[in-house]
Amino acid sequence: MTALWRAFLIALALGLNATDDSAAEPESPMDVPRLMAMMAEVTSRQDRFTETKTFELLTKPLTLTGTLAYTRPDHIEKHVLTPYEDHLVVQGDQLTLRNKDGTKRLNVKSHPLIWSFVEAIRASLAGDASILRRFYHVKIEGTEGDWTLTLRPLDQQAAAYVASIALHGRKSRLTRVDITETGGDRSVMTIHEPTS
Amino acid sequence: MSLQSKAAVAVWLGALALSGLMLSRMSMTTDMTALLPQTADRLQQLLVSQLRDGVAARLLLIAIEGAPAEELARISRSMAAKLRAGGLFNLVTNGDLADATVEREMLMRHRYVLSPRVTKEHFEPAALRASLEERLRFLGSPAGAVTKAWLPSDPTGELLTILARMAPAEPPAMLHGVWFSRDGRRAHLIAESRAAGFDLDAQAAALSAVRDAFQQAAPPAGASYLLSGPAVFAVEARETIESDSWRLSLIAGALVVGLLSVVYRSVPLTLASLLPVLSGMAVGVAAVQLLFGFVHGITLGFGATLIGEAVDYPAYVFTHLSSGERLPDTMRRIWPTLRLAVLTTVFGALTLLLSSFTGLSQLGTLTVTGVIVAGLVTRWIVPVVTPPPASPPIEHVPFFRAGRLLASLRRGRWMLYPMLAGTVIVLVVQSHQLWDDDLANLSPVSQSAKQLDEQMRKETGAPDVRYLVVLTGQSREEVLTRSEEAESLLKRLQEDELIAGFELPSFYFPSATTQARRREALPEPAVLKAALAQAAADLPFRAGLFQPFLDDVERARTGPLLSEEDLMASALGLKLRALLMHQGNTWTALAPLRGVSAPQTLASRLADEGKHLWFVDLKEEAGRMVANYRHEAMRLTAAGVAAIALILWVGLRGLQPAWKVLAPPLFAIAVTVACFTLVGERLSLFHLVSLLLVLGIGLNYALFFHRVSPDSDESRQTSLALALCIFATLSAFGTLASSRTPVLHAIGLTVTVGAFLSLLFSALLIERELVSS
Repeated sequence: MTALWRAFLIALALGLNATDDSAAEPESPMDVPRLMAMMAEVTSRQDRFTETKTFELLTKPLTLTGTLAYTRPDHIEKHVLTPYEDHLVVQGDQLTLRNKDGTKRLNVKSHPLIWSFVEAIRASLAGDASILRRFYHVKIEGTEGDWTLTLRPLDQQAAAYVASIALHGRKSRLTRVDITETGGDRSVMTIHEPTS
Repeated sequence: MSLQSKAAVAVWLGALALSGLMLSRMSMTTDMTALLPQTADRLQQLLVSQLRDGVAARLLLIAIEGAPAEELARISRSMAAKLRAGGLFNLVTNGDLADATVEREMLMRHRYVLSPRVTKEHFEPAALRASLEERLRFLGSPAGAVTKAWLPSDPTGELLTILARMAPAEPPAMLHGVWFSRDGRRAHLIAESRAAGFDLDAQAAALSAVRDAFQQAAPPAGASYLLSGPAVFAVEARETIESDSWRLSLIAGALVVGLLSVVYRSVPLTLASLLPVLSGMAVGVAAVQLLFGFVHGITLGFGATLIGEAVDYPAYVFTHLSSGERLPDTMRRIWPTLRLAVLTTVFGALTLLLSSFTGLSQLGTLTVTGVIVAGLVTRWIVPVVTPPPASPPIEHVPFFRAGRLLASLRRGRWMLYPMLAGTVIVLVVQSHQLWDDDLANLSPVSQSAKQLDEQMRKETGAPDVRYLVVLTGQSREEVLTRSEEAESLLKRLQEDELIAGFELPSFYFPSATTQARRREALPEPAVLKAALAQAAADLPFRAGLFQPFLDDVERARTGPLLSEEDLMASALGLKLRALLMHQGNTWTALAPLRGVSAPQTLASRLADEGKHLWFVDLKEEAGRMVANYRHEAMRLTAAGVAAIALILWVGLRGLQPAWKVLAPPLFAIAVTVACFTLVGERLSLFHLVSLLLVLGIGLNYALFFHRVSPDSDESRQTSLALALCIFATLSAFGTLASSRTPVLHAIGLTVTVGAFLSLLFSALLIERELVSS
């Protein structure tokens, strides 16, 4: 029953998403409250992604593909499908990592570092600016039709790993996540348009 | 004063002076393990040494609550830093990874001798290829960002292998980077004190250091901290017992002195009443110190109880004082009875001297010496040093018709027989659950404190193990080798789901042989370089990336093995000290088992398949030790009762009168035990010792009832004596019974009930025979 209901909600959200697109004014400049309000209207989303990770250690980047899903208020899921399977689910405070080595569970808040990484994506999708500001300097640029939300860690420990996380989007759609690590390694996650 | 009396007083003063000298050098201990026998078997010795010096005995569990989680995490960090800097603790941990750098570096440095995966094949191209592909996958995972720093030096992932094996199955919960309870309401820290668990003064200092660290962390209003651990219990118990027993002793003392003052209406008589018991206590304790070199707190407490009957001795004398009679004459009149009262107690306690348990033999020494001295002081000192009162106490006590009371009581005498029959039935039916042998229940720790401790241990994974596999050997190397050999058996048991997990000292400290074998397996630089090149072909690793790996392997191949000092410098030393110990040339390794589901099956599997190892259930073992202690106490008490019977037979010149005197207190004891069993109170050692006192006091009552002559004056005097004694006993021990400290409560209740019943039964059973004869 709940599964059916959730599927219905997802379908509804995807549909609403599409109608929202057509009714917007793409040229007006974007600000944080507006973006947060727009994000907060989306009940759930699920998209395919391609992630390209560039490492100083490697001669060529690693490419991962899979799906990224969000369900209000606090569920996110990153499901890597190729080149191997890796399933990351965050539900509330519970983080579950499933791969061929087994299943690992831990509390999102167990380490400030993990919590801040999770919230970069989750709080952005939830439209919760107060949580974002708890961990990051938040800056927004661009218009409603093409915005960039840049997050820089406040905490020194987090800053030792991550220089910035830039989320790109159009209206309430998230189109790309760029993570720049302090050592220079980068990750670019492109989120694909729904095919249907 | 006669020459004889002068000599007696001189001897008395001399003995007191010597005792005073002895007492000034008295060394007192409250260490429970000091009471245990010297001849216990090896498992018991192990248990004792664990209780005494084990790491578990030195652990302090700290919880902080009452503030938002992030604030609690901050306080936890601040306290950890303060306590580390204070120098009273070997180790303070709160799970903060930033503080585990030393451990990580130590494990990293010695990873090739610690990792069970290190073999020749592990460094051949095929295995290296698999390792590298694994690393690549890891790099793409969410953990990649943090773990990639290790990749150039550890492409085979040894550090992860080692950490995974050491990690508990259910690690403590973390919040904001430090340990928390599962519900996120308490931040947890563990501290291991430098001082031994039984050094209570040092432990008290450690506790106040924790309090200071908490205050200095500037906790917000409402925040508080909780402490648990053996040392906390011991220090608190000492404080409670001290304050409780002081307070209650003062109340009881005031009641008794008040009672005596009312009855005697004479300050000298009241004061003289205290001389025998005080002299007995002083000389008795001095004797224990002289013979044993130390006095245990428990001996002191129990001994004071047992000598308590000596308070009654002068009462028997003063109440029997007739009008115009001199005290020495009264003394001569009642001395035969009083002498028997003293001798029965002495003979009852004499058998305790034979005990192999230090605790019981100390108790025996104290009681025998104390009661003899109290008896002698009553006989020879009290009559000469006490100025004769203006009028004997019997004159100004409002006349009470004890005779009438007794007569009406005796009409209900028939009720005694169904009562005794009921008692026998209860004791037979409940015989298997009369005794409580749980060592933990002997400690004066409240149930709520025990629950808190259990919960905190569970959540922090602090060592508190019940089931252990014990391995022994003649050297550290031998015992570590056996620890390694046990691993495959324990793994099988884990696969068969008899245990959820286990830990072995060899995880942290492999034997030198194993370390050397792993070191041997490491390839020469050129060989490794070629193998690595072959394995990494067409993988996207940057050229020269793994130079740190090549260097580290070469350093391990030519470097020293992991030494004990390396480990001790880190928090892992705590683990090793808890799991590996030695006494002289005997080395012992402990393998704590987690999640034991079927102890019986497990024990038989270990016995069948294991070599050089024992399965130990510490709780059961401790229970057995307490039970042994009790069994021995019971046997010796039975022998004591036989000795008392013998003395009575000789003293009263006949078996029948001996039985008449012995029966009331024995019946009283039986009924007391049955009553306790009926209300669900299980008997501990404390009850047992109290029952000994009941026997002593009860025999005195019976003896004095027995000597009553038809002379109505003397009959009244005896009634007064017994009334005074029972009121004194009831007020003193009734006060103790009101204590919340289990020890004091048990002693108080047992003596109150037992003494009352003894008097009742003596009244019902004895005089009637004499009156009718």
